[in-house]
Amino acid sequence: MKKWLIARKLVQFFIILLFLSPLFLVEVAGTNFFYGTLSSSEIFGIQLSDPLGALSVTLASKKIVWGFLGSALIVFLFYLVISGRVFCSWVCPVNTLLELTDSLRKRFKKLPDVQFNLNIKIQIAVLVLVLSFFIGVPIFEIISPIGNTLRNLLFVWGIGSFILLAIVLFDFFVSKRGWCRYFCPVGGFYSSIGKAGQLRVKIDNEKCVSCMQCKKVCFSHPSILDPAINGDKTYVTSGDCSLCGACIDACSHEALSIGLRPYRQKEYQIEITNEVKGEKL
Amino acid sequence: MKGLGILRTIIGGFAAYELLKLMKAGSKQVLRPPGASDEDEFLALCTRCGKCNQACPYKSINMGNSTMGLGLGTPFIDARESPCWLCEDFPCFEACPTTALRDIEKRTDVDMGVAVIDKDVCIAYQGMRCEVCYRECPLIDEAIKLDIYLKPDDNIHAIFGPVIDPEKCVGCGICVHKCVVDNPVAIRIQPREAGGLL
Repeated sequence: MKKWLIARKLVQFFIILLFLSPLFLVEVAGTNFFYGTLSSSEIFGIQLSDPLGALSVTLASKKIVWGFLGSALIVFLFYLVISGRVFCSWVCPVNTLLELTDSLRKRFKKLPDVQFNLNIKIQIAVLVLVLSFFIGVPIFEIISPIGNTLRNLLFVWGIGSFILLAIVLFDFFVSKRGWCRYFCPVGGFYSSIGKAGQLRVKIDNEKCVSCMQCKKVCFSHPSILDPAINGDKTYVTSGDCSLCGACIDACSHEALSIGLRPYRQKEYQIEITNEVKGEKL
Repeated sequence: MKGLGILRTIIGGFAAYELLKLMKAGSKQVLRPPGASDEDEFLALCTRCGKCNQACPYKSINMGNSTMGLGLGTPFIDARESPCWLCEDFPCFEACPTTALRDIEKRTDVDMGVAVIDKDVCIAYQGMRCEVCYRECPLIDEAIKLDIYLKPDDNIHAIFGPVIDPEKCVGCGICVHKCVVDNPVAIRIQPREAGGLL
């Protein structure tokens, strides 16, 4: 049973339904309980805004709007406590689209997979903020594939579709999950706070047989699982982990789980040495 | 790897095409929803979330597409199609999270632009009684008045010419929407001063 996959697909589906709900609910009476997009939305009167977008707007306009920053702070604190990139695998509609690309990719074995530095996305996030400040326009809000996907669904068809197309082709032909793994500034932003998250993928080193099944399915990047598999850590520390749960579903030895991060790393003395473990891949 | 190189060019081309299209369009002067701060500040403050669009009960607010350049995703009003009906409670302004729309308490606070009448096209100035813009204006006899005078060289007919008071006109565009003259419309809205970003 791929229970994490099913749970995640359900959440993704309801998130899209939620954002589309004003299209069919608002006509009935007054205002829908929910409206807005991922840039900023309102649910039962509570404002929620995208933290990176809010920072961009604040830097671009050089004005502090407390209400707006407050609405972004709610979202920021949520992801800070849970784990930054939970947004990526559970909420982001572009990821939902790129997962389809990825599953299509699996049918073609010989597609290249170009690797980049995982920190590029954090650098792009910083670049977005700096550019917003100097140009005076929240630059990523305009071209953002996330924003444009929702705009396409809610407002005008065809906005930013060439950027989306480029990303899909890039993911398909050049680099597996390339946009999410290496370049998306929103992912970069959440990745930078990801280490602080209290929910983590934990590993039971006594059950792990280093079969590397988890690494094959990792959404973020297989290398983030290495410290845990090697026995250096008892949980995945990388900020890139999006808690998608694919590794847990894939593990046939039930060595992986999602839980609260331990206060201290347990000191395991594992009999198999790291070198032997690594060679099995 | 030759095939991959070509593919990369194509992929980069798609992204570049979209970005160049945005840059080419620059920023355009359009009619913004009520309460919009001046254009440069508006472009900086608007987070392009579309809540004002969803809040508008008349579906008057459109979202800019890529022909609007940096205005992509920003709200604007096409007055001829559907103007701002100046709701008492301004739901669009209430929905805005960033104060890109702000400082409105009553209708007269709105300053979206000013209506301009083309006297050569307006049939009222040709001697026909029309008055549609005058009658439909929510600020009748304030923003728009009738200038009634005898038609020169004609002792029988009078002119009932509409005159805009630029100080009072809020630029809602209801007159543009209702104008009976087509191609070109005799009245249009000159949006409030736009900055020049690009």
